[in-house]
Amino acid sequence: MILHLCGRIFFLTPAARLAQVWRAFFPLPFACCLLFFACAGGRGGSQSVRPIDEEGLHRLIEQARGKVVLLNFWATWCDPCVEEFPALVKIAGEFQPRGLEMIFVSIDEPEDIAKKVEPFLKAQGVTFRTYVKDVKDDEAFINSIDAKWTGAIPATFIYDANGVLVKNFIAQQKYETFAEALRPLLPK
Amino acid sequence: MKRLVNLFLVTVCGLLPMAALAAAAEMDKPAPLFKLTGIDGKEYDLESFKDKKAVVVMFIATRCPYSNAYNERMVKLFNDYHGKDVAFLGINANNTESLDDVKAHAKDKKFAFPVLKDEGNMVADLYDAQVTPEIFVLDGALTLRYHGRIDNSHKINEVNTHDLRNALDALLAGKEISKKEAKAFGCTIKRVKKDSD
Repeated sequence: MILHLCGRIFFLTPAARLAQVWRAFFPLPFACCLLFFACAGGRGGSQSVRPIDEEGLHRLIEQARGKVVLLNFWATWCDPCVEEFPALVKIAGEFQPRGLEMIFVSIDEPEDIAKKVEPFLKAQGVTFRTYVKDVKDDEAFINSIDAKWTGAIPATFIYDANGVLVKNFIAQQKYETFAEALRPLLPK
Repeated sequence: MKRLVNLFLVTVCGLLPMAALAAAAEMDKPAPLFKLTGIDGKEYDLESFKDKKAVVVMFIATRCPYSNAYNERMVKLFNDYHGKDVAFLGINANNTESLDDVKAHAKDKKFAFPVLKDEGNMVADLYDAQVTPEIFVLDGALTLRYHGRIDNSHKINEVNTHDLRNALDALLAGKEISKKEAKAFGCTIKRVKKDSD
């Protein structure tokens, strides 16, 4: 077929030759785009997880100014975090449409993103932004979020629309505890 | 009547658990006393370690990657300091890790220091220990002198601050500990669920 096409193109005028080539190869980039989106969609609603440092995280919180933010720290190896996760996915379903911004930071290793973090998020049907901590100084990172935080996870921090930290939960919580903290901060 | 009231108060106070009566661990204050049974079947009384140069109380776990990252470092610390009259006590307060798990783990990791099972996380509550590994260093008078991490990174190739070693060296030299508290990420201690949980 390729030989046949090449033979036909050889006997055409330059303009007609260009049009023939365009018609023959136009579907290629289109197919690539389709393939890309199909792969992205095949991730089951989760998104690619990226490493984040202290500066990047604070920039994210700052960029979310004007919205209520729920920031959660967790890890795939942390049993209470894993137990808490379905409650947070439910919170996302109920409160994201009301304007809640959810930022999740895993304490797993950056090299475990593909092997552990992304499969876990895919299984949980996560649609909110997720990162993996990538910092050199854990203590500075912990203190930069909340000086009262010991570093125990799961830990959840809620910021109001002015970017003020209004609530911290340093342990596993239930759906209703998060919901009670969020309801007064968000429109009905 | 007065005698009856006094008798009632004494009885009620006597029945209160030790955790409810003792104060939490506070820096530069006497550490809460405790007695726990070790995985070797012996009873360990913190008070019996009085007059040591230092006592290192380490909350540890069998299945926590952060705690397990420190197994070899804990053994090395014990080897380096127990000859200098420093006692080490490993405490497992995780409700999800059985006595058999703790025994097998200590044997596998060749822990030469006593490992104690804190059933009902009474001692973890007394010290308000939250994660594993979490360290409390007491001096010879059993006063809390250091609280926090072993060093700055669970990844051994990224360690550049040896907080626990620095604290022990300062205590042994009779000097003030420059950094008395240092935080780190760790696995939350899995406590017994209360009715309110």
